Amino acid sequence: MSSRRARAAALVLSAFFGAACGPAHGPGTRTPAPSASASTSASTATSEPPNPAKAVDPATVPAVTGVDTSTGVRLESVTRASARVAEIRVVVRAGSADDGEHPGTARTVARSLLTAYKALATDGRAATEVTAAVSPSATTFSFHAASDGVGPTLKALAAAFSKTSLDAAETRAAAQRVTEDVKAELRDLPSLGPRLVQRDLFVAPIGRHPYSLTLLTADEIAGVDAKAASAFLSSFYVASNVTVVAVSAAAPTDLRPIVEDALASVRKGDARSADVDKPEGRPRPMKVMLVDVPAQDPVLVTLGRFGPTAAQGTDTKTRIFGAALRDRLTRQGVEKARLEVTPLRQAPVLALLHIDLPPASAADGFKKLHAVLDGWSAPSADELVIAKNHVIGELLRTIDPPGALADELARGAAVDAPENALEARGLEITMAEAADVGVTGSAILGHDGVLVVVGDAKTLAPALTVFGEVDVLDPNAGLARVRSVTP
Amino acid sequence: MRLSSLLVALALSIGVAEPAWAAPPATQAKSKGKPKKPKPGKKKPAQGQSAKKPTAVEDAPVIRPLVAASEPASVRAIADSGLTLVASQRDDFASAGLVLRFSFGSADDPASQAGAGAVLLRALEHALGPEIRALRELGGDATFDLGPDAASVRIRVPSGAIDAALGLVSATFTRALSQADVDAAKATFPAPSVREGAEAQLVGLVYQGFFPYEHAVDGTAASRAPIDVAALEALRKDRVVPGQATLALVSPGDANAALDGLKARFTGPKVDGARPARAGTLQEQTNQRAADVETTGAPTTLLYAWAIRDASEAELNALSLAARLLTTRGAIDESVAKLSLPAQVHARLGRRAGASVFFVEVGLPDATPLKKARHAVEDVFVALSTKAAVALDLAHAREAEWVDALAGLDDPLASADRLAAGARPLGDAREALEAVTPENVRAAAAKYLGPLTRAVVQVSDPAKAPASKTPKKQEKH
Repeated sequence: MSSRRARAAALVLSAFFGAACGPAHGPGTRTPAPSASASTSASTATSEPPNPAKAVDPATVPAVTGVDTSTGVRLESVTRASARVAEIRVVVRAGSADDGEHPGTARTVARSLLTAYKALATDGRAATEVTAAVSPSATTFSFHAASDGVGPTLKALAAAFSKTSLDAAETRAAAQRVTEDVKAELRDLPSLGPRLVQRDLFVAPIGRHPYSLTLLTADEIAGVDAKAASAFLSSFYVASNVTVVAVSAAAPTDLRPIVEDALASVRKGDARSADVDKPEGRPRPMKVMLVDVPAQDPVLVTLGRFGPTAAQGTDTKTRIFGAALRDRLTRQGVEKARLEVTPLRQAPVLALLHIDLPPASAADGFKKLHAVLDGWSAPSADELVIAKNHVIGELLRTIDPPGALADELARGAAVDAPENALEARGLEITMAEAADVGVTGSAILGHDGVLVVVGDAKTLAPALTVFGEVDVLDPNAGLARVRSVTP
Repeated sequence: MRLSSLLVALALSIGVAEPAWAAPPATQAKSKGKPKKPKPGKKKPAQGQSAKKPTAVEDAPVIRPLVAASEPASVRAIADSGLTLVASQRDDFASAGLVLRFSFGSADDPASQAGAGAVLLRALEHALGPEIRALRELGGDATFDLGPDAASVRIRVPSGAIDAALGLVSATFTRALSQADVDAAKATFPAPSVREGAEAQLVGLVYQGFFPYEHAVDGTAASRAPIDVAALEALRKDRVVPGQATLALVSPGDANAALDGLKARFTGPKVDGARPARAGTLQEQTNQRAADVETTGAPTTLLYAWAIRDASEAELNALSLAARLLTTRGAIDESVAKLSLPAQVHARLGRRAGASVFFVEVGLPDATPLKKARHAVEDVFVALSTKAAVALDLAHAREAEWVDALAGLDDPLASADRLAAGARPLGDAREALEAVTPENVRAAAAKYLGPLTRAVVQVSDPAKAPASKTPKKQEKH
């Protein structure tokens, strides 16, 4: 056992022995206790002050090894000896922001390639289930496989990528499926908030910003023809634009020849996404939208802001700020809040605060949210400890399951993040100070953003005006604005 | 219960494997059964596939046995209190997973109190608010889940904060409930969505007359209304007790020492509790049951279910692979595509202690002619029970099932879940999957997935119904 593991083991054992040496608080005692106060055993756990933040040892964050393969494809891998399955992500830096004149092209091409993969995977070892996710920055193909299934799966994917063109029938079939996906997304109420936030947060000087195309229409997708899809495929699905992320038991030296052999057929060439205008970052009145769904329970709240610039703070400080904000809301009785931090390739980090509110107390929740945002100040020492613990817990949940780690590395690869980004996050958590987090929070809250609520407009609109004028949208009419409610 | 949770139960019922990077290259081993070697170039191109196919993957297909895997070591004991304890040492994890699993599920609800188990678990969660908040402040998290056959408290926590997690576990047994907890718990049940309502209707149809599985896991607002704290405490004294529970811990550190620590912590007078007998048995079904759900804004969906009575383990394994074949090999997609319609297909076997259930969900575009679509889908069910699957397709299904099970072992919480559920040994699970032949799948489908024993629910939006052709016919006359 390494010394690091030994330390971890010692920590665990001390936890047990601490408990074992104390009074026996077993379930068999069945000591009744009022719900407002902890029972005997529970009080042991809760009456102590929070543990001091246990900074993640940077050495425990897995090392990422990056190599440029002879095919031109980049390989980033983490070796985990105990992994029974290889988690693979193939990141193609071709996202919806690269759609150009035909919104929906990246998604249509990805759909088409998945269909092609199914026909090409004629090896029993190849992964049966490969999925594709299209973000503004990239398209990521995901699968897991037994060790000897990685090569055949990559080979079949490479064969799909290297198609010279997509014909009219396959493009039409793929577009039809994307259209159905888009309709399903419009019905998926939890995803509406983030989509509306992103649509309205990214503002272009002229026309629509490429990062704002989060709610496509059937007409737009129907405009994606074989010519546009083929051009997209041949422009972006080239080796230099692809990164393979692997979390597996294999050493990089074992993986490299597998990847080089499997991806040899991927086209060579350079791909470059068009430069994207910076979104207008000027402060403006907060945009507040209420999607009218009368029976919605819980009420879904999404608050979107741009994260800080590099000079104002890091993703990590944004996460700590979000955890501190969440903790303050919890202490106000607003539970079930969480912060989502999304790095984008040519844009500032997107920070989304999600809150689920019971309909009966939603109005009160709006007031408390407004008060907490309005009264933001740097966290106290105790708040900082708890916020760091939240972020450490989140980091551990990211690095322990290989699938989650692969997803995180793929997100990094999509935005050209450095290989040591996770390691850096571990260090940044350790180093962050209350004043820094305060500055980062003020930077994020210093500009107005977009607030989207999904719930019953009749009962919620008046209370929501605490944030300003509210646009009420009809989900059954393409999210058209049906009226405004003023404070 | 959401159908997705059935997938978790399914994954847990299977074992897990060991990596084999150093293993020799896979050969074209003959799997059990009679694997065919599809001829390159004879495969029919998929719809819309370019005629010019890349040649990179046209090597001879490989069908090989599933990769062997070893079971992560675990130790087991029973504490003085009657709580079953399992610990597994996983030094490859930085966090720990704890699962406290109770042997009661919604199937154990009293007949007059559908949803009682769900209210009990949520009331406990409310009463344990201080412990849950303490856990979260240390970077951990806890979820409370109820299924048809079991209830679980799942905790993920940094390994240095296990004590807080154990504090929560202890309090789960001892914390008294108040009426305020019960009222707060009842307020957390959202109104079911159209999709969830249709699913509940489907489950009601397929288990018609068999209360344990017929009612929704959460019951209904009406069935939950009369449940009070006295009723829940009466249930709790037999169910939320150590003798009816298993605690599994997966964490870094020595498992034997961990087990000793747990035994010392959960000492105390033995409390066995009792699991009441479930009411009734599922009767043989001899007619198809159907329902239509028409709601504005509803996605067009066909939901099918079959109750699986008295199936052997081998038959259940064959049915789980049948579900994989339906989901991933595209037979339903291809059949529906003949109508120029795209379809989203999900099939799964929900294993249950009583009668298991086989689900198929087919998502379709708005304005789909449902009668034609149903014929296209149901033709595939007929084919599944009359023609043996292609060996390569079955190999893919088997591989996917196995790899999913293995992936679960690389996650602390999923590993703890598996230990708490007492999943069968990994080697047995692998052998069982290997033993399934195309003919087994066909025979199981023929026996259990017939047209007379299924339940069907059609979901559609009446405002988007396909245009009727009736006027044309009238004109002809």
